[in-house]
Amino acid sequence: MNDSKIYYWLSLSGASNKRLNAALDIFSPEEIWSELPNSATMREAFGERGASALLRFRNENFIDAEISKIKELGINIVTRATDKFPARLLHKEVCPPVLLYYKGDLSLVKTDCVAIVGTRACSKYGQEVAATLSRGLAENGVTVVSGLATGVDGFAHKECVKAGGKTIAVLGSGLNKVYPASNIRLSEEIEYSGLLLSEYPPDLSPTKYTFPERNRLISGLSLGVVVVEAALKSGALITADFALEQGREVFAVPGNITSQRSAGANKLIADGAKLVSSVEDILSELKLKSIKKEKTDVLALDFSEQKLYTLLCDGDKTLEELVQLSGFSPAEVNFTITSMEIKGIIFRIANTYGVR
Amino acid sequence: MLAKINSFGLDGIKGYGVTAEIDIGMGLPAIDVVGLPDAAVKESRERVKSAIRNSGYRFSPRKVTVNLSPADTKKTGAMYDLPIALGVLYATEQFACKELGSFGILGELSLDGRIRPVRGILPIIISALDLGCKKIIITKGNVNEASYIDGIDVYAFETLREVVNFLSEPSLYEPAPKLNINDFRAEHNYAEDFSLVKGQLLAKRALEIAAAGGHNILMIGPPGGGKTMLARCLPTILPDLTVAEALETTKIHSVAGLLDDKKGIIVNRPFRAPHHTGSKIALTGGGTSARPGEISLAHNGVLFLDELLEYPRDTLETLRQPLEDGVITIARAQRTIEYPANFMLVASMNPCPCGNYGSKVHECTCTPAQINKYLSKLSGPLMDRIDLHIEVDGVEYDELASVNSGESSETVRQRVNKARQIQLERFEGTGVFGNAKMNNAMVGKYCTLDSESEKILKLSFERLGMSARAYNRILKVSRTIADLDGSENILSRHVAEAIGYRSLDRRMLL
Repeated sequence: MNDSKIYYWLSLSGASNKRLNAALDIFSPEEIWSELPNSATMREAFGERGASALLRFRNENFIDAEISKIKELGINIVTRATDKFPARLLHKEVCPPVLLYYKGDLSLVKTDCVAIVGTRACSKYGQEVAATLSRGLAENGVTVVSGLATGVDGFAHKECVKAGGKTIAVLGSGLNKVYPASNIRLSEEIEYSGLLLSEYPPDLSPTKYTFPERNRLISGLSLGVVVVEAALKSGALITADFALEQGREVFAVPGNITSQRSAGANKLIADGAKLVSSVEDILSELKLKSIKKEKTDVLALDFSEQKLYTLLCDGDKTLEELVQLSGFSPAEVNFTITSMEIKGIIFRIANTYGVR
Repeated sequence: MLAKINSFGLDGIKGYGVTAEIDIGMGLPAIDVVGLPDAAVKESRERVKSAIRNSGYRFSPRKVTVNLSPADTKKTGAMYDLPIALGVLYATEQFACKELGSFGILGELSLDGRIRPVRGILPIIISALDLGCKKIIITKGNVNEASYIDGIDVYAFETLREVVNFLSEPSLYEPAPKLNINDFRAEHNYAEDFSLVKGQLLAKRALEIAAAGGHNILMIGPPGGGKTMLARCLPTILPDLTVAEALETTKIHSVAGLLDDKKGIIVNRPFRAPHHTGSKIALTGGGTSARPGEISLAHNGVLFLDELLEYPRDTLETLRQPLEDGVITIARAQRTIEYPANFMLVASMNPCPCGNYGSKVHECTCTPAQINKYLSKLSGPLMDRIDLHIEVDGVEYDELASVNSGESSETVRQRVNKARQIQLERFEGTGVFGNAKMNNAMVGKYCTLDSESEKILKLSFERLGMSARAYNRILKVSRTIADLDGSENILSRHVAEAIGYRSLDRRMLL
């Protein structure tokens, strides 16, 4: 799209997305630019307040500066007028922005996407679940969508990138104001291997309102939303609500009933969200193809490996517990477990081991 | 008349010769001490005066000038009391001795004429021997410490009068009997024992490896998990000191004035546990008299830092040089001293601010950001120097009765001693006593891997996300595990076990 057209698109600020979308169904941005001051029908479409705000926000210097800024930062713009615009967002319930700023591979919005969201203050359980699900989705060729926040969001993105999968981060701030700053490196990685998306101008700092607002895009882009860990007042529940409105699947990962951090996720399940205990639960519900991983030499376990594997099948255990239960020497347990871990038969979280 | 008495001074853990010259001449009655004396040396005038009078001698009412040469080196401590007193008595002709110049003399005087022990006798005697001194006069309070060194006659007395009697007729006296350094045995009567710690078999195994190879070890776990208790048990499984190690450690303790003269030598590996409120200087050594710090007192033994992250960061960073070189160099305005500081670092810490991350007993309430911030207090360079990390979780109450507590310290120590013996033979003549201190060339020579172990190590880096810095550490620990196993070659199971003790490398990834 050439600069002159972007110019008109960028002039469309001040009115609500709802009004803008409705007006753009009828008029082109150029028409709005030239005729808004005079055309009564057009003013009516925007409403009196919307129209005057649109006019008031018109500042040619400002738009020029914006365009050069975008070029300088290597940020791209996609408007709702083109095919590239995420089709899943073009619904009334989503109320999409008229244009999106992005960095990275925009074609990802057309792939199968699943959102993983959750609390920023997640426990190690939330962290591990987010990572496991994200990896599982990535390995099955599903794009992971999330909000680049700390906690669950960050772990979901990170694990997806690590697994070599594709991930989309929808920001609650401008692309030049990545928040939190601790995720700037992660955002750079996503820029190369995935997609960074924002509806806000590059230099807009995040506010209390922008995060809930962007949540509708996270759910809108996705076929389903997985809530990993959420307290009763978590923003992840807002995403789940949007998902319901937009007709997306809502999944929730159950947690301990004693854990405040999982109260929201548990409530979602009580309210009818689909319970997730593995990636397969998500894939089968969304009718996505599950690429079966070939199990690595499970059959080739030697005696002590077999014994420890059997113990771990009963539940996750620490090394100390394995020593006590197996009757093996600490040295033997240690090297057996380590070699099994290297072979990828078992995994480790903090000091606890479990079977894959 | 002029008297010259040989004595010694201390520079770090080396002694040097000092000559006390005492001249009595005309002038108003006074004693002047020159030759850069510190306050303790200057005050010796009063002690000497009283001690001479109270021993039944006359103190000359004339001008006494004392020079401690070399005159440009600072003299510290009270050990010149006895030489000065004898010099005054000799110069005033209250006794005669033909061979006064062949004795080295050291001792602090009390006002009644008794001789009190002084610091640093062992290093001084070793240096005295090097300086060609064959006979030395000290107090009985230092005699055991002095009796381990052959080739020098030690005469020990309790009072000034006894010394004067001896010097008047030296041939009537026998030197103090020698103690045989090879006779000394490590003593094993500890209150703690490994078998008294419930469970924690894995941690015990890791401590066994650490003790065998002298590896630095970090224990991570929730409060109340038994980290401190395990560390307190560590001395019970440490390998016995070799003679050379014992002498070195004794020297440092002697200089610090911490030696128990009943034994006169350090027979067990030291275990030092300085509190985290201690100053940097307390840890490294220094101060005006540049005394050895905790890390030097832990030489050839264990330095235990409980709650590692509570120590101020700059205090921890000062450990980096000694951990690498085994010595600490203390530079002060007047001198630069090098103390040995070849210790094994044992540290403990909580995994997160609330302490319960990874615990099965309690739930952690920290956010990942809090945990990251907490762990970031550990600097990479310090982590680089720690070979083994282990997780120590608490044992639940109802398990306390039933768990297997494993072997006694005695059994473990025998294995450790055996493994250490293998290492001593391997490194004979290199000045290295344990696998942990191998340099890169030695690692290349002694830690060769077969293709299977090589494969495991390579896979662990790829799949477990180990950091490259872990590589040499893993090799060294594998070597120790192989030694414990009595195996000449490092096998894949040794490497796999060593990898299992690198939990922190991987925790950082989360």
